[in-house]
Amino acid sequence: MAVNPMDLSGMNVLVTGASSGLGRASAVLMSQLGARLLLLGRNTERLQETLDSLDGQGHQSLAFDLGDVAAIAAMLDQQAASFGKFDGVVHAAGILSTRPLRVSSPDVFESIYRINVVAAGQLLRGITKRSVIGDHGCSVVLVGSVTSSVGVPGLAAYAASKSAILGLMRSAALELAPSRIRVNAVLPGQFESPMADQQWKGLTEEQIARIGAMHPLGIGRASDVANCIAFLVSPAARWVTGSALAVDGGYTAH
Amino acid sequence: MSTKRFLELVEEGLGMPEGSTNEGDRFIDLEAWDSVGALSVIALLDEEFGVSLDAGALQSCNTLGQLAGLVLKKAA
Repeated sequence: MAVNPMDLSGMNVLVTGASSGLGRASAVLMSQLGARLLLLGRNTERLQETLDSLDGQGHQSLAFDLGDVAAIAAMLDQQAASFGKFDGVVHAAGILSTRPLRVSSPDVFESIYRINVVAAGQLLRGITKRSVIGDHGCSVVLVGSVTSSVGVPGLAAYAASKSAILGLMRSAALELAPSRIRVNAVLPGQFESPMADQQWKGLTEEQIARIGAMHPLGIGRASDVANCIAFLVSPAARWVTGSALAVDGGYTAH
Repeated sequence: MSTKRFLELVEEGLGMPEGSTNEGDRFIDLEAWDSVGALSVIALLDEEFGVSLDAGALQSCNTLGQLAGLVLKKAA
């Protein structure tokens, strides 16, 4: 009999940022592995596109603005009652803004932190409620970045937020382990996505080629990162918590 | 969009004193014009006018006035 250690059958997984890029790729893959998905995003049409590309039955989507951080814990509570208790949560929503320090006002820092860090913290807060997670606990995956360990000019506020994710992830992993909640992060390098397109907008072809050359295995794909997210959600990672998994084609191996 | 406001944003993005630039100034003559300065100006123009410029569009302009014209065209 074939065994798939990444089988997600019978698991309910919430994915934020599910309307595009990494969130969409992760949702599609996890549905193929048997999970039932609740997709979160702001854009109803694009959420529907993701919903249409999922395998299996019973998936749902919810238009929700994670910027409304005070409402996140209550939203989880309500969705656990209507959609079902969560066995996995993937926080793929994130803001990347290329802003050199000279033009990084407090608003720039705060808007990035709100989605990348505060929303992540409130998702974790929400699942501390017993009635929100499944009987076997829950696996949370946060999306960090290589910029938490390697600097990039123009990304100071973004990098600061992604570094904060690591601190949040490790302390949450310890605090929530007794409740059988695992908390991990993936740290992607540069991969093809709408976010990368936005980041590359201001760069010349030569600069983009240089970024590619810094990844020994080249620029990645969203599916490369989604595979690692699915692994961390799955029972194959049942003994993994507080871990930051570099998925960067060797970028940080230098 | 006024040219005055455009020049203010360029000055802010490049960290130059207010009123120190003119439409006729060439980018290559501006000491503060470098890759980080370009990213800063792109970010400010996007925020203020909702105009998304790429590096190629910027390279096609020799003077601040030409860039102002491009932004105006895109914002229209």
